[in-house]
Amino acid sequence: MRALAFRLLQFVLTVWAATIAVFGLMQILPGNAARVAAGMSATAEDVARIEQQFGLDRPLVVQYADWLGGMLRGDFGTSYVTGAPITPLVANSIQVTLILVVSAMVLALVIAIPLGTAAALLRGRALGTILSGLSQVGVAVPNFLAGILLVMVFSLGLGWFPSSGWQAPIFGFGGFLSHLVLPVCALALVQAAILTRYVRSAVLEVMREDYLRTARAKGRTSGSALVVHGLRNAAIPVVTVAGVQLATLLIGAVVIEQVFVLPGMGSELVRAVANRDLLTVQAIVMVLVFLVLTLNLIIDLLYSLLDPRVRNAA
Amino acid sequence: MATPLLRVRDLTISTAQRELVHPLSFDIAPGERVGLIGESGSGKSLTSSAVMGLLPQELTAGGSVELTGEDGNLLDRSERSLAALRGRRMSMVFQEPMSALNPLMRVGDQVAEVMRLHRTATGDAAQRRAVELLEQVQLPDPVAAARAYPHQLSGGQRQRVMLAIALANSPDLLICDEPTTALDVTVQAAVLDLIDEQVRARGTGLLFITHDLAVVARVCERVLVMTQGEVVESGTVEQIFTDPQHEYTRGLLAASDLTATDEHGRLFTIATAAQYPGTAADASTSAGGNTASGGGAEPDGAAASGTGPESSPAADIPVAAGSPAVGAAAASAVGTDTVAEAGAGSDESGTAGAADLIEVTGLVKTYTRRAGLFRSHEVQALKGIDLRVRDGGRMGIVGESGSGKSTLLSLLSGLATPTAGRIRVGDIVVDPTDDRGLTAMRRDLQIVFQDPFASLDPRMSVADIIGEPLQSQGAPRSERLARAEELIEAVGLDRDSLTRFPHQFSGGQRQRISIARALVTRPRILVADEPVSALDVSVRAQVLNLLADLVDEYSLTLVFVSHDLGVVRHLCSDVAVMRSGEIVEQGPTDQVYDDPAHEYTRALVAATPTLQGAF
Amino acid sequence: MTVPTAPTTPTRRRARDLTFLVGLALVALIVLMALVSLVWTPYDATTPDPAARLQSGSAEHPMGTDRFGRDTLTWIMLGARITLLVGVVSVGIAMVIGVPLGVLAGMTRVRWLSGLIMRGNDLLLAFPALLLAIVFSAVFGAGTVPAMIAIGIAAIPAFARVARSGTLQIMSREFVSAARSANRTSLQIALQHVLPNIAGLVIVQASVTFALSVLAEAGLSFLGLGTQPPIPSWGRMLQESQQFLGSRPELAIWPGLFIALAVLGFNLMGDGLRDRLDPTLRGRS
Repeated sequence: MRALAFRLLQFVLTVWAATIAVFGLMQILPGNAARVAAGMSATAEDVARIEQQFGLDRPLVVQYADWLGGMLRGDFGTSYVTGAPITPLVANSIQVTLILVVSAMVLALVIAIPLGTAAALLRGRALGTILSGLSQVGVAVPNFLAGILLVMVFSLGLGWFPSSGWQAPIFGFGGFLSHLVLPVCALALVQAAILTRYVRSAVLEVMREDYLRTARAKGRTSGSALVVHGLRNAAIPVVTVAGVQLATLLIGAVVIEQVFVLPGMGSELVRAVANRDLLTVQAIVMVLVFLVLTLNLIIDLLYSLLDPRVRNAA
Repeated sequence: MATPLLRVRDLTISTAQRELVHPLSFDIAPGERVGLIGESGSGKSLTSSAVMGLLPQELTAGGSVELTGEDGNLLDRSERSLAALRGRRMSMVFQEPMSALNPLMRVGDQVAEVMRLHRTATGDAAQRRAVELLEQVQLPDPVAAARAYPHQLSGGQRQRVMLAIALANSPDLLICDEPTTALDVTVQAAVLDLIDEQVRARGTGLLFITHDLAVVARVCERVLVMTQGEVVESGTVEQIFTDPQHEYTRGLLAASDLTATDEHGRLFTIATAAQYPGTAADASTSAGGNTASGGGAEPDGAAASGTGPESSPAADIPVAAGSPAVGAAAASAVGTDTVAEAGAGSDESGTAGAADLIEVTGLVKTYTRRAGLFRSHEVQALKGIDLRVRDGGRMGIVGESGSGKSTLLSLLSGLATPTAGRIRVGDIVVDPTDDRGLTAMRRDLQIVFQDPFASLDPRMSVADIIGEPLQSQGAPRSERLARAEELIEAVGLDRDSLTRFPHQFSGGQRQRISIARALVTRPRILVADEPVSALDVSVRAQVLNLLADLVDEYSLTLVFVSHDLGVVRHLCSDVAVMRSGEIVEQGPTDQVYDDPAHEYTRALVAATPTLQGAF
Repeated sequence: MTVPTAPTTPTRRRARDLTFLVGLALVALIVLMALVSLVWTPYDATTPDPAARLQSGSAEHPMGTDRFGRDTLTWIMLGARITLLVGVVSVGIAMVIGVPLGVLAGMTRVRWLSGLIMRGNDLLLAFPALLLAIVFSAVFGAGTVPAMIAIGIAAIPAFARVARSGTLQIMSREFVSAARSANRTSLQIALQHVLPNIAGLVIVQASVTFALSVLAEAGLSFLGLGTQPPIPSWGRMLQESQQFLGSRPELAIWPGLFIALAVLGFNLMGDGLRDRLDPTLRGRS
């Protein structure tokens, strides 16, 4: 319990440090936000007006406290560029991104666990070499390239799935799914290649462990020793990696949303950067960082659930 | 021996390239306890793995292994049909208790698993039976132990769990592969007794693999001696110990016997084994005596030197009469005697402070271990140590793991700061914050470390390694090289070694390099931290002899830390026995060993397996 | 005295050498293209040729041309330069900052200092390379320089972690105790014992990080936030190809292929090196 409280406290402190980092990064160029928002042809008065309107003339500490306080109430403020509140935009786009990321991760794991285990068991044989070769190539393909290739084949070529766009589930589940297939596959295939390699090395590592030999000495065949005693041990490093990879996937989604024109956080982020809408950028970046940190926390907790050595350490 | 329980014929084990175990045959009768003894690389572990069908995939076994009641050759069986035998008719206990149990599974489940697998007990019955078994292997609280995870148990306790698993289905054959090597002496004694008791009670056949002759004598009736993939000799324990036929067996026996010495007061090595009088001779009379029962010393010794495990040309320094190294050592031994006589007045009592080269008073070391953000608890590694080592003395420090002997060493060498107390070396008070004092102190005090594989930087040449202590003294390169050349010869390696790297040397040779490094600054004090615990028996004798020679030659004061009472007795004039951060007893070696005052010392002496105690 | 684990058989050794050599060959190909492009390219990169728009592969244009009639091969060659430049600079930044920090965190006995370094590391880990690069482009404007710096900063934690765990491992070895009792200073130990022994790990990390930075740069340019026109970059070529996917798929395939080859090359090189170097750190080889 104490370890849990300690971990939670650490999480809160890290998130807090992240808010300072994100806020600080946006303020590196002084007066930037207002000048950028006012546009190229703006006069000094225009800039001053915007600064006053959005409270940018106040001391940085006050601005930071204001921003942080707003976020704690679930309010990300109002865009200097569009004048619209940022919160609804974040709330709508986050759903798209999360659906994309979570389904891609599940699909990737479903592919990677059996393939990685097989690659480990077949090491030194032709099929094992082919499997690890394929995963090595898969790792090298950026997900946006995978997306483009999938569009070429399954959308423009075969016409099975739409090449872009998004349909919310309430307007028809079939349409929702068919719009989801290609972007999820683009993310998942590359991810599966990465995870396959980790699963393979985790299984290989476990196969060398003394307790697997013990299990065989008890009367298990090497196969059943691996399944009963090996896989749960192998899961520990894989869970750790999958956690880190979820963060990568989240950022990968930013690019994939561009390829498939999906209204997720990535599209909003890129649009905000293009519009130089710094407060929106700040909000979305903060949400993404928060998600990454939360994922790390969940992985840590899962890890201690899996491993009694960590659980009993404190 | 009508039908043997296990019948091994012409067993070979090979990689794709070469044969590791050469045709090998032996039998084990039902209920017979057989020891398989050999040094590292002899192939003894591979042999046991082959019997169990647990060889690594890259290795193939030939010949035949038959178990009574089973048809045909086990080596021809499929993994599935072998698995049906393992854990039921034959089972195994491994060397490493730390890694042999699944870390994610409760101990009770791991014991119950072996019964569920073979359907000798199911469901709750298996669970109950597991607790019973844990009780039979004398775990203190079997119910709690069944619920624990492996990491919550000590090494000795885990080895008991392994034994419970192995014995759960009352197998006909139990194979133990160095089951006590990783354990402390007192724990080893208890586990050996337990194995002995359980195996006898159940009439189980035992194949006991070890490198330690004294251990084998304790549990076995018959012994097979293995070296370089071959069994060179077999016989009853008594035959092997009193009348060994093969020169390797004789060498092993001689090198293992830390109470027997040649006429120079040195241990027997494989090369000098011919002069070894045998274990039957009384220890006190054998010292210096040469009642050669082997006879025909010269030719045998010469022949044997080639078969030593350190077979590279530079490895062996036979301490045979007439060799220059011994001549020098013998000459300087006379010198030391006079030194010892000069300081003899101080020998009487511990009050002669002036002659004490090292003085440790009231030494306390507490480690703070953090548990969470605000909490921490303190671990007392040393609880107030007083120790004096006189100039030219040879102080042995004996203790098991957790006794605090390593902490004492790191404080002594200024690598850590004491919580309280004082250490004086010569006229310098050791203080890790006083750089100048440390520099001066370290010129006088050098260390030989335990692990010959970890104590030499793999990226540095031997010349650089040996010269490193001089580098911090600002010695120019030419001087460092000259000193390194001098010392590499002093430790019995040739000069070509200087340009090579650590991985090109064997364990014993590396330890010689380590000793050369320690002596390069011409220290007055040599601190040795378990310098032979990682070495094979035959190499151990050579390195101990070298240490003894060098201590004499350079008139060194020796502080020798070890878990091995026998080694300390051979080498040291005084001994301090440590337990849980305290010195429970200290005094002249013979007095402490022959008439221990503290119960822990008595327990330690009793637990130490000796060749003499074998009968 | 334990059963030996999988000895390195000649087949295994050949396999890992092959891995390394294939990786090296791919990297050499990219480097060669970049070097040649410094002195010669088939066509001028920026001059449009309206007569040769959207051609497929031919003798004059082996990889075809884009919508302005510019030669794809020329652009691929020039894109190799940016790819390598971004990789070298970002890996350099990450290594120069990350390794000393990691060694310091591994060697210091001041607990709060190592704690501070590692917590800072954790915080930085929450900013993946691409995200940090997007933020940089928002604050400083899009371009190759902010991209390189952002990718480099984001890769610091990887180097710091590798250096720290390697250092901790080395510091626990007895030869470090031997060096300390031989009165060597911490700096001397760091330079003489720690760095040479963790160099292999760092090199492997550099190779892997290089691959990641190639991916990040391509992604960023694909979003239009990385290398800006008129400087050729593979990521932007891929983005521009999107509107011709139906008619001219090779416009996407060529830059995609070279991104993948570059990443594959550095990954394979890293893997081959890792297999070769690993036993020395694990010791007792």
